[in-house]
Amino acid sequence: MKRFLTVLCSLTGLGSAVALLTTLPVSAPAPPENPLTPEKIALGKRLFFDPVLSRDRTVSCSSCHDPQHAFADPAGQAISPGVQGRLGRRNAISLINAGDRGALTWSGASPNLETQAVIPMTDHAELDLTIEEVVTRLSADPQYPALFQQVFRSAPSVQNTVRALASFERTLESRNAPYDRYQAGDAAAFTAQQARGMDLFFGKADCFHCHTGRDFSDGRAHNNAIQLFNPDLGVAERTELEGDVGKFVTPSLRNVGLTAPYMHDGSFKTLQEVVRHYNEGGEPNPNADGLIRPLGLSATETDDLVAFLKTLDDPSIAGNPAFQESR
Amino acid sequence: MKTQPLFLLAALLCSASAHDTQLAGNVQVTMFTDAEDELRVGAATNLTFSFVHSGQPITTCHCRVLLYKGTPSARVPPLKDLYLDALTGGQGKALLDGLPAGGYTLVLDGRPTKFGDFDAFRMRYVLSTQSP
Repeated sequence: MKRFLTVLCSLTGLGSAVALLTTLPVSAPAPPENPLTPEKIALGKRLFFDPVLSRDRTVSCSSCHDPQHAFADPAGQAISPGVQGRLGRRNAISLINAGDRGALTWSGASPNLETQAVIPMTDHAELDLTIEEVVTRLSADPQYPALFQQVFRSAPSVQNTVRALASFERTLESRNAPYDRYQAGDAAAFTAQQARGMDLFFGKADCFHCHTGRDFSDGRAHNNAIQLFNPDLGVAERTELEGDVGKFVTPSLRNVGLTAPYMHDGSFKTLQEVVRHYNEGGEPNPNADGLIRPLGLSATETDDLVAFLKTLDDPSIAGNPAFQESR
Repeated sequence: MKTQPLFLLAALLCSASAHDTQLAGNVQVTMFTDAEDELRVGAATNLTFSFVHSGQPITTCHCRVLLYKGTPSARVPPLKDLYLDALTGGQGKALLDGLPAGGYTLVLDGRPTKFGDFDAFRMRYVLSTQSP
């Protein structure tokens, strides 16, 4: 079949396309203006792990998006320090399957990975470079000018830097958790407790209203009532609407057991705390989502629900060489 | 004898108009103050909430009273945040003190101490201040 395609594409002048099809990893769909190539993915991966993109050359994208924790904050860190130990406001969201999402960052500030990449690069509490400094820094590097030339046939630019980063991030795909195997018909992928937890997730606990779809996010913003009021305005920072104060985009639940702590501020250390919050009905925040109310889950049901949530974990991410820093 | 029912009806109507009664799910709450359903400026105001579920007084509740200046906003904390866990005869009381003149919104948030005893509720009351 592959030989047939090669012949067909050679005849139609698409030989190089076949080469890509056989060498590209599984990935989220790329936009037409930034098609994936193996070389661009490799450059993006190098940039992702390289502290060259931070003012004091001490932190990289991977400092907050740790491959050992499904590309979310390193273990136990509510908020990872940026340059000079500065702390931002929000917990780093897992990048697994992020390329399939239409509203990136907690406030939905970016529609795609390319625009998202600029935010940490220029944030004072994160990498803290200006657009001009990114270009200067990469252009002065002994290796990046040649790599950019090879991939983009041009000198380093911010546009191509974010294109390369986004290309690597689009390869961070994972849908091989016990939940996926169970859905594919492998009944042994679940314990009885996990199956009970799934029934609760899609029933009594009502989690599925917001955590829906194949990555368990509706892609919309909600105020989930974890605080009585919201010093971090969330979506309202962009919209300036009173009703958007304290709203944050529903995170994916993929690998949720690997990405503690939880919520936009990392204020909940465990999944048990998260479930307890929803079970009690949250704080009476003026913008609290109407679906948040006491659920009446028993202690056993809470444990069942947490057991189900952990079936969304794919432990192979941490050992996947394609996702690790190249040595 | 004939005047007594009329008197009672009149009293009930006056009572209904004087106090703010709201219904949420299967819970009815009547709120009244000792200042003609307003809040006193610079002096204490006693608030009383009467809780009824299925015609019976509610005896226990995780109830919370939040007072906001103007309309409640998620940007700012409430001016007052009080708990009404102890109910007597289906009534809970709260004391508001030291308020400047202006308009306020009181939010009453209630959840059953035992799930299922009654529906969780959240009610809003718009209040203004009364000069001393």
